Amino acid sequence: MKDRLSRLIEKSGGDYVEARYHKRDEKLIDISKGEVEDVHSKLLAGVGIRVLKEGAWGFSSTSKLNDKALDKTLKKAEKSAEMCAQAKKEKIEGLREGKIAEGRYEAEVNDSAKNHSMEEKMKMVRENEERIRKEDKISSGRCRWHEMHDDKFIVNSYGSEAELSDEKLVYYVQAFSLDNGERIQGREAKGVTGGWKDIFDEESPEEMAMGAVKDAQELLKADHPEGGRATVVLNPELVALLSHEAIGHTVEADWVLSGSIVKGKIGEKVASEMVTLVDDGTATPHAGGWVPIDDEGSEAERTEIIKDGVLKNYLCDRETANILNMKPMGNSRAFEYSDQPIVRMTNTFIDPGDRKPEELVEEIDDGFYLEGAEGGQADANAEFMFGVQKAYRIENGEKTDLLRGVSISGSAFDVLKSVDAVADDFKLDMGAGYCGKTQMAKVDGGGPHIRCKTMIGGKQEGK
Amino acid sequence: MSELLALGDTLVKRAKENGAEEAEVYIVSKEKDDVNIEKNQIQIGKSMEKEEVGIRLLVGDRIGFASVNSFEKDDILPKVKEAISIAKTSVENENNIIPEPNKIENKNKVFDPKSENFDTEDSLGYAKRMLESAKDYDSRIQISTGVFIADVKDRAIVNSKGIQAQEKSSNFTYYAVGMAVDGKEVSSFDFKMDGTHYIDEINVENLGRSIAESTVNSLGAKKAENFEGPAIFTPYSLMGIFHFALSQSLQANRVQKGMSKFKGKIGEQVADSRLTVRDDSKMEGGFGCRSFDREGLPTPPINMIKEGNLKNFYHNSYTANKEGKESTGHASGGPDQPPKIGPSNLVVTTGKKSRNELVEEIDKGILVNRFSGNIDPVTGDLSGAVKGGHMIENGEKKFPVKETMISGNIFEMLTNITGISKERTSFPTLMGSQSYLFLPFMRFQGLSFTSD
Repeated sequence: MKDRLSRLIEKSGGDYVEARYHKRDEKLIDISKGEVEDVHSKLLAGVGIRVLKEGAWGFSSTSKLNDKALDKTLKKAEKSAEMCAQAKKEKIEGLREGKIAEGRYEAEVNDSAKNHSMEEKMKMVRENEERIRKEDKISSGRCRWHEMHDDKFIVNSYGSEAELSDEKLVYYVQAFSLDNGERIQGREAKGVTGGWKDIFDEESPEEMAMGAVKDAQELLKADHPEGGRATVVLNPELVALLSHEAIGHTVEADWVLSGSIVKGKIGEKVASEMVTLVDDGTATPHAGGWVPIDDEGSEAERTEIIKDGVLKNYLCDRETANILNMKPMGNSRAFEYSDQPIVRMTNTFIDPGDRKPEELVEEIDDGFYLEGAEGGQADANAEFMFGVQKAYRIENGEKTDLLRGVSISGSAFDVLKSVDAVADDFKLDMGAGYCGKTQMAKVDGGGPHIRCKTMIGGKQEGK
Repeated sequence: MSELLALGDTLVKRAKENGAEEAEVYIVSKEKDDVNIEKNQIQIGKSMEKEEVGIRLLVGDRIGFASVNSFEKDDILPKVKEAISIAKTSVENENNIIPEPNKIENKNKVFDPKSENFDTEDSLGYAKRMLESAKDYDSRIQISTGVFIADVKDRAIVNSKGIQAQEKSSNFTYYAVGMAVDGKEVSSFDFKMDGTHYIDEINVENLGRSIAESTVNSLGAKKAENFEGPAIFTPYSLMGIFHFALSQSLQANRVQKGMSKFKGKIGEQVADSRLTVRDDSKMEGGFGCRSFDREGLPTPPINMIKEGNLKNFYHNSYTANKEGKESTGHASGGPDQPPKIGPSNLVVTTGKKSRNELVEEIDKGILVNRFSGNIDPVTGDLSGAVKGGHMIENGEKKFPVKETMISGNIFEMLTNITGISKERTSFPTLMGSQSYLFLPFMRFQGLSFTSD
C-alpha cells in the first residue's frame, strides 16, 4: 500500500500532496438496564488524498483501493484545489515543515484487546451493569466498552513515509439514583492508548463499577452549595477540562486566525507565573490522545502554549504555522480516512509544580475541593461553564461536607491568573472523552491539583 | 431488482445460511461534494464516494451487528459471520425483532433531478455566497468554520420478513460558526444551519446574513442583574430543549427504562395549551422527509403533544414489540450501527403573536439567542449561560448581555409558556442528521437569571 501511495505522490502535479491510507476496526458494547443499547463491529478503510495547488487545498477520498480508483481520487483532489484557488482571495503562500515522520510508529500495547474474545467483553459489560443495578438506592446502570484499532500509512511530498499502528480503549460505567426528581449520577471512565492491562492497571472493571455506585450513593445524601465566588482546588480531571475546553480551543491556530481572544497576545502574561500549559502527542505512552505523528506526517513535540504564565505558542498545522511563523508540532489530525486534517489538540495539560496536593487544601479557610467533570461548554472568548461531579466544602483547612449539583464558570484566563498554588502530582484523566470540531478526535488532558478562584453555581433545593 | 436490493437480498440469504434466524441489511451509497470555510475564507474543496453496508441479525432472540464500508463480497461476508458470532455472545431478549413489511408510499419528493449534475464547483459557488453575504452584512463578522455540503444518497433496506425498499435523495446542508470581532472585543460565537432536498430552496445568503446579524448585535455586551422573570427563546436557542431534552423524553426506549418524565402520562396535560408538537415526515420543506425509516417502515404523521396534552411516544419496532404495538416508524441512524430512535420533522405549531409583540409585552426580561449549558434530559433541569442575549425593559430590547447564567427546568417551562410567535424557522438537528426541527419563538415566565 505504501508503494501505491508513493506512486501517487510522484504522479501529482500539486505543490504539495499527501496520501493517507487508514483502516479502523472498531467494536462497541453498550448495555443499560439489562438491554443491549448498541453492539457492533465496524470496519472502515480507505484512502484520503489532499493536494495544495495554486495556493488552495483540494481533498478527495475513496474506499476503493485499486490504482484506477486512486488515480481518479487524486485527479478529483487536484481539480478541487484548482477551483478553490480561483475563489480564494488570500492564497496559501507556503507550508512550514515540522519534524518529518519516517518509519514505523507503534503504540505500546500490553495485552491487546484482540486477545480477548467478544464473549469475554460482553460478559464483563453485562455483569458489571447487572452488579450496579443490584446495589442499594441505585435505579439504573449503564456500562460501555469501546475499542478502536487503527492502522495508517502516511506519505507526502515533504518526504514523510510513515506507518502508524495503535489501539485505543474506553471503559465507561454509570450508576444512577433519583432523589425527589433530581437525578444523581456516579460515573467512572477510563480511556487509554494501549491494551487490556493498560486500561485496567489501576482498577478492575468491577472496582470501577463499584466506584460509580459508591459515588451515586454518597451524592444522594449530599446538599447543594450556595453560589458565589470562591477559592477552589481543582482535581486533574477538571484541570484537563479547563486546559482543553476553555483554553485549548482558543489557541488552535485556525481559531486564532479567525480572531479568538488570544490573537496577537504571544509574549503577553495570560496566567499566573505558576502555570505552564502544554500540548504533547507523546506526553505518556498510554495517554488517550497518544498521537506520535500527525496526518501531515509531522512528529509530535511538546508544545508549551503558556510558559510560566506567558503565552508562547499556538497549536498549528503546516499552513497556519507558516502564517504565524511557528512550527507544526503534530496537531494536524483527521478522524477517518474521509476527513481532511485540521488543527486539533492531543494531550493538553498543566505541568506539575512543587507543592503537596494536601497543602493546597490545608491553606484554605473557606472554599471547595472539586472533583470530576460532568459536561461543559466554552466560548471563543474563553468564557466557560462546567458541571462538577463531586464537590467538598473546605473549612479551616479540612475537607468536610460532600455537595452536589455544583458548576463552575467564568473566564478561563481569569481563572488561570488567579492560580496561587500548583501541586507536584500529575494525572492525565480525560482519555475516555472525544472532542468534536466538525470531526471527532480522541484527546486526553490533565495535570496536577491546582488552587484558584472561580464562580461557583449551585442548584436551588427542590429544582 | 436494483443492484443495491440484489446485494441486500444475497446478504440476507447468506446470513440465514450461516445460522441467523432473521436478518436485515441496510445499504447506503453516497457521493458527496463539499466546500469548507475556515478563518473567514474558502479553505478546501472536498469530494467523497462512500459505500456502506450494515447487517443486523438474530440468533435465537439475540442481536448481532456488523458493518463495513465496501460492497465487495470478500469484505462483507466475513462481517456477516462476525455479526453471527457477536449475536451468539449477546444478551437474550424476547423483544428483539426484525419487522414485518408495512405499506410504503413512495410519494416523498426527496430527490431533485437537477442534482445529478451538481459538483464541487457548484458547492464552491454556494459556500462563497454564504461567506460574502455575511461579510457584506458587516465586515466585523469572522466565519471561523463553515461548510456547504451536497450529497446524493441512495439507501436500500432488505430483511428476511420481506421488506425491500429503496429511496434516493439529494441533500444540501450548510452551516456557519462565527463571531464578531471589533478591535479587542470578541463576541460570543454563534452558529446557524439549514438543509433542503431541493436546489431551488437553498438560501445561503439568508444564513450568511443571519449569523452576521446575531453576532454583531451581541457586541458591547454588559452584565445583566440577578432577577427572576420572563424570557423569550429564539428558535435556535430552543434546539437544546426540543431536540436534546423533549424529543428524548418522547422516545419509547427512554420511557420504558424510566428515564423520561413523560412515563405514564399519555392523555395528561404536560404543557400549556398553546403548545402543539407533531412529527410530520411529509411536512413541506422538511429536510426530515422520507418514505421509510431505518427499518424500512413508513412514518405516518403523528401528534406528540396536542394543545398541551401528551399523545404519543416515538417507537421503533423493538420498543413497539415490547408493548405489543406497531412501530410509529421512527427507527433512525446510519448503516454503521443498529437502529436507534429519532424524529423525522419535529414541528411546533405557530402562535398568534409576532415576535415583536412577544417582546413588547415584557416589562423586564431577557431574549435568549443561544443557550450554552447543560440540560438533564431525564429531570429536565437546565443550567447554563445565555449567549448573544439581550436585556428587555419596558417592551424594548435595551442592551446585549454577557456572563448571564440561566436556570430552570424544561418541564416546568413547558407549563409556563406565555406566548408562541407566528414566525417559525427550520433547521437540521445536527449536520448529517436526517432529523429536522420547525421552531417558533417562545416566551416563558418564571426563569432565574444570575450575573454576579
